[in-house]
Amino acid sequence: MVNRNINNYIFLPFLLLILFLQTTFIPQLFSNSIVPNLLLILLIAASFLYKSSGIFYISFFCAFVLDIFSDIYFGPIIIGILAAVFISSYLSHYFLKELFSLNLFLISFLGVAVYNILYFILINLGNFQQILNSRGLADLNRLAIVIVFEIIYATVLIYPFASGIGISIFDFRNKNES
Amino acid sequence: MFKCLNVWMKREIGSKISAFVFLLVVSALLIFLNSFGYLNRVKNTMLYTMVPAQKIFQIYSNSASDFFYMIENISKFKNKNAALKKENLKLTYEISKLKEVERENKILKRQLGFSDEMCLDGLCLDWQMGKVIGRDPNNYGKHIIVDLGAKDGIKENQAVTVSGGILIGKVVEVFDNSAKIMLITSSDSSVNSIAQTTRANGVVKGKYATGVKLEMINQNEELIIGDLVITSGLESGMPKGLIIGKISNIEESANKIFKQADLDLFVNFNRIEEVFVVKNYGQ
Repeated sequence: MVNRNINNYIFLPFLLLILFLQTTFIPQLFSNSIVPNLLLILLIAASFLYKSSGIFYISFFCAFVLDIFSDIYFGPIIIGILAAVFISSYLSHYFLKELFSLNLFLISFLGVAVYNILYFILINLGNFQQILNSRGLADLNRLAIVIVFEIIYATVLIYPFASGIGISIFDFRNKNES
Repeated sequence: MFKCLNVWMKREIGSKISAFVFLLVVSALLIFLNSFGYLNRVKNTMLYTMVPAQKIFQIYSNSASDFFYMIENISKFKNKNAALKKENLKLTYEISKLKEVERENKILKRQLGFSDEMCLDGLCLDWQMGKVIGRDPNNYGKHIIVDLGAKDGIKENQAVTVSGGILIGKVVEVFDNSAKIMLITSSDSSVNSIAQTTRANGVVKGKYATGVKLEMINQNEELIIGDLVITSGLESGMPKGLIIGKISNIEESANKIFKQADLDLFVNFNRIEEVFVVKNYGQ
């Protein structure tokens, strides 16, 4: 059987380190541009590799902590991250068999975009009418810029993290199937 | 072998779907509980345990980000230095003029029997300094967590500044040993304000962490580029006269009810390390 589990003794402390960096160092380092959501990228990458549903519980805990540090509304990050991880995890079962690199990118992009769109909708639920009327395009522009930047970050970061492990999984699967 | 793999995958996906649905239900429940304040205890305990680690991470990230900031801006510093030297000369002249005004002011105050305490509108402000220990991981709203909490007398809606009376936001959530500050650049923030010279009234609103805009100014009110925008003091916890920014661009159109203006801010909101909370104003 294909073993897609990551070593938890390495992954969980690493995740905790990223969690602290995401709420301290990363926003400061990217003070003049879009802040990359490293935790989201890491969780999406991990969702390709986790065999069990454990990744959802880990994502839930991380999102809960991020939600405390973020907006005055509680919950958008939890729902956004859970949806992104679910989509990545679900699609990776079907589409990572062939054209691994291309599909890896497409699924990562989709995960990042789903998270940002859901988060944007949820934080603006109360004042959506105002966005449609007065602020209009400026708000949607911001959403588009954030998604494009996050996708660029995901491209740069996910590929080295997941492709090496992923390609070896693909080879292993091919061998098993043949 | 392929059949086995298919069965295994279906089982795997089934367990993931059920975990996802279960966690979504839990999330909905948590959001519901949070709206009634039942989650405050949990959030408080989590922050309480995280504060020491956050403080350590923040100290190291301050030095690391200073280093990267210096490398990133080394070419700009030369030009900035020349501009600052020029400004320094101008300010030296201004200071000499102000010293003269201060001397006159002191004489007049003594004649009228006023005290020399730092008070605004007859109320003396009580500032408390705090350190930033956490930052918003998102790009849409902007919040920071500081190491001051209910035990330090911090309450919701208190104004938060950096040195020099520059407003950066207000307290929106208070925990035992920490508090969440909504920065004025957050899209949810709005502050009642006035232009210092023309006294035009407006509301300063955040633009998804990218800056602020002065909105809701009547068409018949005058705005000047370069004019300072300060707080009007109409909100609870917000003293009058805190500096917000400088008008950099005015947008006016005959078919719009209100004028708008972009503001230049005096601080980089992602690099704030220390803040001052105004504790006893209007509450």
